[in-house]
Amino acid sequence: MIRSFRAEVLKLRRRSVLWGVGVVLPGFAVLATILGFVNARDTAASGTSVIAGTNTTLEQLAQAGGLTQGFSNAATFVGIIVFVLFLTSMTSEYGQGTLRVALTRQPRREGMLAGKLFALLGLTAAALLGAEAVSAVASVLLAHARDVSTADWFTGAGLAHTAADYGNALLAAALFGVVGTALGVLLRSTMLALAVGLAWIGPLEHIVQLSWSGAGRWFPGLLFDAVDLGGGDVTSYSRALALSLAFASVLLVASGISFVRRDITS
Amino acid sequence: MAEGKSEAEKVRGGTAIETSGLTKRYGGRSVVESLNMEVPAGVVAGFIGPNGAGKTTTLRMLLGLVRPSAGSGRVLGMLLTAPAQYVAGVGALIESPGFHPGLSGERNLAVVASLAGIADRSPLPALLERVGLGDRGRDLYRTYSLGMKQRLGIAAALIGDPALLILDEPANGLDPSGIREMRTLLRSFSDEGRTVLVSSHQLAEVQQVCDWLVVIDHGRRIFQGPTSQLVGSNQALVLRSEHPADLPRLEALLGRRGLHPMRSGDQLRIHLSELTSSGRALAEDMDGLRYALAEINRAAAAADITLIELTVVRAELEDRYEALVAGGAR
Repeated sequence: MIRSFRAEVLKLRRRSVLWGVGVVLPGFAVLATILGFVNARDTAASGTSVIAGTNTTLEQLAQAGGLTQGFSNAATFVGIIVFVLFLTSMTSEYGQGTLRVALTRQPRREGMLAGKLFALLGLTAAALLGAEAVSAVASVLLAHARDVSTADWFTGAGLAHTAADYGNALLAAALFGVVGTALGVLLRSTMLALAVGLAWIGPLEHIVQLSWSGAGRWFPGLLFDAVDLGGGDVTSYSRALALSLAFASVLLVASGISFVRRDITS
Repeated sequence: MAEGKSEAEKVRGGTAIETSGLTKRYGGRSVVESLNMEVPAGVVAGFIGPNGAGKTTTLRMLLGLVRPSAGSGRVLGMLLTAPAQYVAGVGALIESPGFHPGLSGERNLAVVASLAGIADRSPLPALLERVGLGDRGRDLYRTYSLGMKQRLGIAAALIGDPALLILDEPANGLDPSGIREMRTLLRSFSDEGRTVLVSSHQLAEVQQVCDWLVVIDHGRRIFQGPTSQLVGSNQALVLRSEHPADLPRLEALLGRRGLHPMRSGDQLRIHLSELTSSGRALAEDMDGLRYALAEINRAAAAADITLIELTVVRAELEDRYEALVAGGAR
């Protein structure tokens, strides 16, 4: 696993990946932060918004979690990016024949898969840390612009919120990443896996959610979002986390068995 | 696997690869069927057969990429079912080289070295140099030509100083000078004591570089043994005199030396296996053969017969191969 991890780090340590992940994730977090502050109302509007962060009030932003509210709101977008990153990282190994070369040097396939996953998670963790940091800086600047009090942000509770938001974002990203990897292993084709994955996590779940309120309690993509947001009106954090972990575990085991047992024929 | 010394073991005293009843089936279709093969240690072994004969599947099984449906085998003395125990000693290039297009050649080698658990990257520039990519190691893989990609694949196979190299069509995409270099490279691997198993369709190259051959067709072995055993059986010495009228005297002269020349038009042919020294065939002993030919030439000159042709005609592997494949299992 260590060998595979090191090899993956070598692959990830290239300018295009570092710039891509290092700019896109923080970029989305900053964008979500700006939108959150710009659209924040003085008082809460009636009803519940489907899209996280579009029904925020200035009063909510002034609370302990306000510093990283925008970062949390970027969850769905960040999740999709991580999903695509993990998925293409796996399918490209099949497509470019690099998996064949790798397995002739490292035949312990479970270790190879684990090493690859951990390296990608490491990159994701670093990118999320950067995203949270720039989102926090943006929040401070925007708070001054919109006259939002930041007094509660830098209290113990505020910092705990910041840490929890990071932990939840990382957890949600890891869940999206595991699903991406699993789909990549099971389908092997970038186009097919992306089509299936993005269609399900993107439009399908959200369309169904509009007509069925239970969707948020059962669908993996929506549950992962709930984990990132620390739970919500539709489902509690603990339920979302338990179900998400169950989903991810099943997919991870299924893809792991397939990866270990399947012949490498192309 | 074999009782006593097998034919392969007699050649070099060890076996790098051996399989017994190795079989791979996909659904009801057999790709490799009860394959028994041996590759002696230290040889350059050619693995040849028509398209779809099961060569690449066999190589994949040897490398743990494909699980055999039946049978057993050993690579470097380790069981085929435990590739983790022997891959450290094996370098491979299977089908086309597989590298990351966005990484340089050198970084790609570093990735392979990491996977092999080799932390020391200092030998990588020398490997690139050895395969003729010394000045292109820092260029992105995606900018490489097909031949350069193939060379990088060979360099990757050499990482970790493997005892056994398994190369699938290594000359693919190489130009004629590249093919010549590949031939030299393969020979140098053998000179360094490595075993090389190389699958190829370029039979002329195989004939020149390989000491050992395994020929398969429809997943079954149809020949295994020294290259000379396959191509040597058809080698002949052709003699022609300046005056055709001298041929009967030349025939008699050769007969007195224990040879059995056959008339063929205005020339005589002697099966090369008849030329021996102390009971040893000279077909593969170049010095001995040269000496024997000079002796015949001197004897003819002493009998006042001027030879205008004294040629060893070697059978082409291609002909023997075609005959083998057409003839089916042996």
